[in-house]
Amino acid sequence: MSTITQKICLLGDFSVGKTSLVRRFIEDKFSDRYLSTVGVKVSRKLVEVKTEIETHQINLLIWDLEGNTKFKSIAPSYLKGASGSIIVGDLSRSDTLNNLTQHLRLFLEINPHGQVAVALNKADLIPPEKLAKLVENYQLNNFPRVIGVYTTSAKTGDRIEQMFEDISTVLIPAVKS
Amino acid sequence: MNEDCHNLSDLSNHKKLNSADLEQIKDLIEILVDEETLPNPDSESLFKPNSNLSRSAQPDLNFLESDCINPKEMETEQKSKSEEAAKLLALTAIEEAQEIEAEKAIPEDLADTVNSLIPLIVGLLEFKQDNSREGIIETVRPVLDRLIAERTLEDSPKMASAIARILPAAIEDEIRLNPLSIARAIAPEIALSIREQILLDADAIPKTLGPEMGKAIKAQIESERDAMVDALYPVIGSTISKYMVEVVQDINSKIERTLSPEGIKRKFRAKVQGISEAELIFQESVGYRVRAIFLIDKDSGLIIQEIQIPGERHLDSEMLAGMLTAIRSFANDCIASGSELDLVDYGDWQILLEVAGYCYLAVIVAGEPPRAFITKTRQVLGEIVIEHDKAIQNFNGNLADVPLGIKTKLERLTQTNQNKPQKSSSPILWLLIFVLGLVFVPWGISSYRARIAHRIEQASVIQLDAAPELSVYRLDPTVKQGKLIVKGRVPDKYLRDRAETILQAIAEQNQLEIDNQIVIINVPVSPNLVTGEIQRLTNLFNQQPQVSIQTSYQPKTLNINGLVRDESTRQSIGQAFKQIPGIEQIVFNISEQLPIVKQRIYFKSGSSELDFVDNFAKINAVKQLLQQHPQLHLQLVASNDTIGSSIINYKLNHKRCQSVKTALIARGILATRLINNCNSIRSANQQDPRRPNWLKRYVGFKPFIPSNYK
Repeated sequence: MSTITQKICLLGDFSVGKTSLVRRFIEDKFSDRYLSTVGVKVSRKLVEVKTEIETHQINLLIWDLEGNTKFKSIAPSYLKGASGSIIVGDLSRSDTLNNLTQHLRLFLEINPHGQVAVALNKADLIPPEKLAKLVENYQLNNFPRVIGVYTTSAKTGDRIEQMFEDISTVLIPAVKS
Repeated sequence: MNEDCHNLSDLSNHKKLNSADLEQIKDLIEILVDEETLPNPDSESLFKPNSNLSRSAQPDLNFLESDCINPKEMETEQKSKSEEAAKLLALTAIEEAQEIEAEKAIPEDLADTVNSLIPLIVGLLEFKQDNSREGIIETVRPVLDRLIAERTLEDSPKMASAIARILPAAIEDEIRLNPLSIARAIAPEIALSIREQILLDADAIPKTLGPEMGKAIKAQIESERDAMVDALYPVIGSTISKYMVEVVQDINSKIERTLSPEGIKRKFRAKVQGISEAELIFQESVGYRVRAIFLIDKDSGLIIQEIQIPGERHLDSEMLAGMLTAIRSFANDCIASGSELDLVDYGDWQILLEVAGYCYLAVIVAGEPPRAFITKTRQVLGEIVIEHDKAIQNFNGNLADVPLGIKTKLERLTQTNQNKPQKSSSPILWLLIFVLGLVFVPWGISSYRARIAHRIEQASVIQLDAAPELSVYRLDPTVKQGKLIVKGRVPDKYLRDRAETILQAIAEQNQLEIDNQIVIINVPVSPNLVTGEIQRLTNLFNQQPQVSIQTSYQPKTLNINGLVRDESTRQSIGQAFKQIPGIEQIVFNISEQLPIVKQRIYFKSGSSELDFVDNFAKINAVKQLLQQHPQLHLQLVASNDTIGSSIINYKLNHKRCQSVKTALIARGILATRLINNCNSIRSANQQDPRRPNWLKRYVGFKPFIPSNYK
């Protein structure tokens, strides 16, 4: 069983729930109080990925970046060396969803071989009937590096584990496409 | 209570009353009357059960009283008159009411009747109110609580606002009068209140208390320092004490090693830099210690290789590397693009950052690392980059792919750190060498110098001994601090100068200064030597003809007795003896004439036999004379009487001389000093013819000093 370490970044507009996603994933906790991330917060979690052949351990170093605003863009240097990225949008704010491609481009510009998962967060705020339609509108699957689009909820924990597991799996060197 | 006053007057405005109202009015009037007439209202009051209650409500009543009436206006005279009037009015009203009741009139009539009564009642009440406020108070008191309770139920906001106005003043008063009870009343709820307030507005309490916290802590420290220390100790005490213990231990060990090369170096440095040694020790104690080394991928912030020193708290290397990388990126982007962050300093710790190629090295060090260490860090990183740049560039997060050589190289940096304890063993060796050096180097130098000095001293002694006049004196030459010092005692300046002249040559040869410390002293001469010398001179002079002296020596004084035939000889004798040291005075007791020996030894006629009995004294006297003058010789001369033939007398003379000679020899006189001259007969003819014959028969003595005496 080998252990490798990989850096992944969380990208997205401010207040879409990047920090909450990480907190839910790492500590399994949620708070609806909004605390803006300043600069970057680095967290770590060891993820076990079982493939058909063996069990891999991936030490995920998750860089939770300060969300970008109209006045401040994401510092590209934080993205350097990242193998993967989770690009986050807020289902309740359409402008954040529209910005997803912009983030995706920025990330792939710096890491052309990076793997990307798209998290459409705050799914708990959207009525189920609306949700499917919204998700359909923001399918980014036409980008080759996107491994999937997840409707997540940091509040309920919905699909978060799955998303991190999926991205971890593609980060195993042998599995990398 | 204004409200209450108002309500009473409002009663007049009621135009219509029902029977129940009527009942109430009746009751009220009865009460009013009773209250006035009965001497003790409490004893038979309708509201007797409530009397206690009314009394307990007394404090509350006070403000009622003050609001409604002014007790000072009350005057007893008025009071009695008004009481009378009130009674009359009341009785009239009751009578009318009773009439109405007795007639059992229909309700409408009854209402009319009562309505007509109302002004009367109102008048009554007004009268009562004006003229007997005390009475009113007394009346209202028992029902006050009920009134308030009912009124509160009726219109609580009004009651609240009515009470609210006087509530602060009331509380203020009560606090002043009875602070303890107020405190007791509020106390249980304070904590709860604060909690509630925090729930309502979380910031308010901290904002209120915040500014006072500093003062509160300060005051507490002033009043109970120990308690505050105890309280804070778990938080900061352990941190500080741990740090101080480490520093003190380090200082201790440094002081213990004061005599090590490090210690001496430090002393030197302290002198050169002009700072105290203690400060340097503290700097060193705070010193530097490698805690961890990380080789980090420059872009991703992933750890390529890490070394953490065992015994130190394990660091979460990946988080640390991530954050460091983020800080580096931030600094590069926002502060100084193009330049590098090379040091992060937090408290006692430093993170040295060295960047090269695709990676950077972060070395976490406690204290102040020396320049040499930083140089070594760069060197190690340089080597790693040169040898393993491909591996670092292609690093994909898999530590298994990292070449082992990197770790080996990084360990060299920790070896610097670990070498320290090894170094600490060498001071013992150094100390030993130093101590030995301290002992042997000066010893070697001094022994070499001592050898040279000894050689010079030996040569000096030999030279001094070679001079006969000095050889008898003990002179002690020593070489010391570039000087040839000579000590000793000689009797005169000549000998002192002589010694200096001899040593001067040696001193010049060895480039030394001469220090003549020879002391001239008057040596008290040994009496043995003096007497020996005196004896020698005495013997010498006695060999001369015409000299026969005897010497006797008392310290400083020489007595010369004897015979010296001429004055010049006596003077030369005197000068000769004066040369002898120790003789300061010479006393001469000498004669220029030979002593005359008067003694004559007489013999019987025709006999040569010595009569010892008669001549004992004479023989002894001669013997003493000879002993007194050892040089003196005696000629024995015989004289005979005229009786008998000259041949007989010649023979007798000869025999008589022999007898005397024998007698003197028997008394210890040398035979050689006695010379017979008996052959020459002194005939009677040569003597006075008048002398009797017995005086003519004798042996006489003629002293002489032989010239060949030795």
